[in-house]
Amino acid sequence: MATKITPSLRAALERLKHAGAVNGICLAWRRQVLVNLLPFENFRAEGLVHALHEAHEHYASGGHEVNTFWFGYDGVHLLGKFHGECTLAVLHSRAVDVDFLAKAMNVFLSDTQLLVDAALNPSGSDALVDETQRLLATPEFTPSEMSTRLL
Amino acid sequence: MSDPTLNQFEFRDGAVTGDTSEEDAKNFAADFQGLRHFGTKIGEALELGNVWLGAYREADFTHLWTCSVDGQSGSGGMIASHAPLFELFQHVSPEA
Repeated sequence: MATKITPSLRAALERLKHAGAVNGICLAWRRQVLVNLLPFENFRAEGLVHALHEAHEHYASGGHEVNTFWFGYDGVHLLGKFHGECTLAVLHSRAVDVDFLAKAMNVFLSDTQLLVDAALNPSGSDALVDETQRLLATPEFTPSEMSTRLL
Repeated sequence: MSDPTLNQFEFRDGAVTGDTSEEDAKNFAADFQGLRHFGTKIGEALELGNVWLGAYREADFTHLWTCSVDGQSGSGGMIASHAPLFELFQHVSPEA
């Protein structure tokens, strides 16, 4: 199941990449990088996720529930958002896009919770598929027999 | 941006001045230092260079600053609401 779900997650991220002047995206669960669409190697994406988590934990320890970080560098900005145990980071070049991107990231994080869950728990999803197949195979509930009884 | 809860600050060579209490200025300075530390870590991780803008937002609080490359001077603001980041950015740093 994970191999079927992960491309969907990647496709959803690719669509988000077309929102504004986006240079790269990274999705993580806890400190684990799930999808790295940044123009950097994975170890750099992991460094980014770790630093965002450290910042989040630093403010959480002071009683602050931070949901957004925004940083500016020479020619590029980094917007980081948290939703449950997921972190989404976007590199973008135009400052004016920040609020639009923040909203799009919120929608993405809300809409893709099931995809993320399925990617992280493939065995649980497979079990559900097997159960569904067994129910359909039960003879007394086949559509043809039901129609015979009705007639 | 006309929110009455907006507090603006200027800082230069370690000294923060603002239009509210000294405690607010101290809180702003602490947040600036913390956020700049993490912004620098991210800049190092991705080789993006020096951080010149930092912001964080909660459900009912927003903090944002911009600074010089060496971090010795700049301006910023804190507002007790979930404020639009770009609007706050333009307000505290109109020359950027």
